[in-house]
Amino acid sequence: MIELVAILLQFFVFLIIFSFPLNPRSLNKLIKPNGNTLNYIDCHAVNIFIFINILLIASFFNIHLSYLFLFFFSISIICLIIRRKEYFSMINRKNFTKFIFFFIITISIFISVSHNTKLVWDGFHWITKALVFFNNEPIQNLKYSDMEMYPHLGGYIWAFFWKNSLLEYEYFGRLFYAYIHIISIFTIFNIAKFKSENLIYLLIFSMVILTYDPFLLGGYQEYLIFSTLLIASRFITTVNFNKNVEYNRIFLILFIMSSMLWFKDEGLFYFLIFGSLLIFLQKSTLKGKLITISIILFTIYIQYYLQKNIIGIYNFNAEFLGQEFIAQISDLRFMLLKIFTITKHFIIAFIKYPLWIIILFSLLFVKIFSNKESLNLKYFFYAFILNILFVYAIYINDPLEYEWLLSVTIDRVLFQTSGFYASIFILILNKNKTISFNFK
Amino acid sequence: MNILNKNNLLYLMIFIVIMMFFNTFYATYVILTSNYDTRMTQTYGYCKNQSWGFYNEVTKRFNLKGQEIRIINDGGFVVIDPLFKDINQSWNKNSKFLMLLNFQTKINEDIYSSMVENINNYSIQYKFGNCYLLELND
Repeated sequence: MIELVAILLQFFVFLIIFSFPLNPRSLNKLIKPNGNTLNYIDCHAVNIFIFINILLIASFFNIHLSYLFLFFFSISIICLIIRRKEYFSMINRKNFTKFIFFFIITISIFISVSHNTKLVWDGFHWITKALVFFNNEPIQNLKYSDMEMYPHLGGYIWAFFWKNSLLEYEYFGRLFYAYIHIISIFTIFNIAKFKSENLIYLLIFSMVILTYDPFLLGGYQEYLIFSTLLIASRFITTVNFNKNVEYNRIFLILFIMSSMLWFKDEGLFYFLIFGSLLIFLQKSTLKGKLITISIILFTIYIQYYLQKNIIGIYNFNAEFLGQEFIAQISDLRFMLLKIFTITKHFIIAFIKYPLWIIILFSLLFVKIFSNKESLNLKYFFYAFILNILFVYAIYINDPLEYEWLLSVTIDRVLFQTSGFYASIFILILNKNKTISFNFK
Repeated sequence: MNILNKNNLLYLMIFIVIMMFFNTFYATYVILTSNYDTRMTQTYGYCKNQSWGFYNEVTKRFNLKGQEIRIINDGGFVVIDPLFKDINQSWNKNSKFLMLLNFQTKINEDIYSSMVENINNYSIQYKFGNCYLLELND
């Protein structure tokens, strides 16, 4: 019984901690969308990233996780008390139903993780990073963890919630991954403009089903990238590419995306590709674009600098354009075979994560039936093309055992970014008049 | 106010469907009836597969914190020392402790006739089935 109480408590700890610092009013004021369209769920998502970035800074200072938790928790409680009137005013039938819906899904996944506590494959490597922080060791000890070149933020968050849970069981740290996954799905459906709330609930639940993979909750970091991109895409839909650039919004999106740098190596490329494309399509001066792209590059440099000089290690999992790759590239037949094999595994991965099937149909729909594409849709289309090319490049670059590597990794690599394009489907539904019927 | 109206009943049905999808009722039952240690042992085995139960037992019986422990899982399963904050795996062939899990035996063979390096310098401290905790002789 105590374990169930601890799980419930963990849910409310997440809810309380991420209610701080922003509220809908301050977020709307900050990024000025068309009308005050950003609601409490959007704030919750942004607060998660503020929290994540504070944890990132704290990770370099060897602050005891319990003190850090006490700080966060007390400040959030104080904030909650101060804003109590605002929260009470939000209690109505619609919000209450949404909250119960969110609660049921999240708690069900938490209980499922608790029931199936097993760590899988890479989970045993990632947990060694979490253990460094759990045992309050200095960050430099990451050098002795498994896959030492990988970034540590996911492990730090794992350790933070593991250490500060009621029972200090390992899986409590991983509940955060499930929480951010569900929050990100609720956030993206804030862009839905359907009359029927029930239809939104149905689509949210469908997306949870399509993207829920208990295997990935066994210690993998994929949900962190997936959720980051999903939340970033929600804010990208608020960008009006036809108007002059609104830097507040762009910086918020870049701020969210930059967290990926610290989750996994791929995160660096996604940040660079999706971030730069966002700047490139903006209506701004060349100077403005150059300055913003410089900020992206500088953020990447800071990550490199800190990893190399503070932690003492910076490397990638694979060598870029190694000698064996150069030797292989001249063999056209081999390269064609390689591309064919990668494509085959792409198809397998799309079937494994059927959200991709919906995305592909949505992209096709946009290309065939849409006379005048919005720039938002264009952005996601170009991002998709670059994303696919990037994945091809990863596996073409790997000269050895690429078939084995493809069979065990490509599904996860593709899953990570699938959330980014989910908004295309919702944007299409928004335009479709038949959706405006009352789904009761 | 009638809370049992059509809409609320619909929501209730949806919530039940969600919980059935995630197998929440059964998982809750398992959590209520089996504690964490039992579930971990069921998942990873006591002295089979990854042998979580054996790790758990020896951490309770012996003070292994800060000690060098060489861990060999003869069954070929992954070594799960990261799940125990008191156990740090070492590759030192003369480590203070040696944990031998799922030892694969033939007739009349014991661990001292196995291929494990330096095994003769160790003495058995605890044994369960084919899982052993050995300590380096002084």
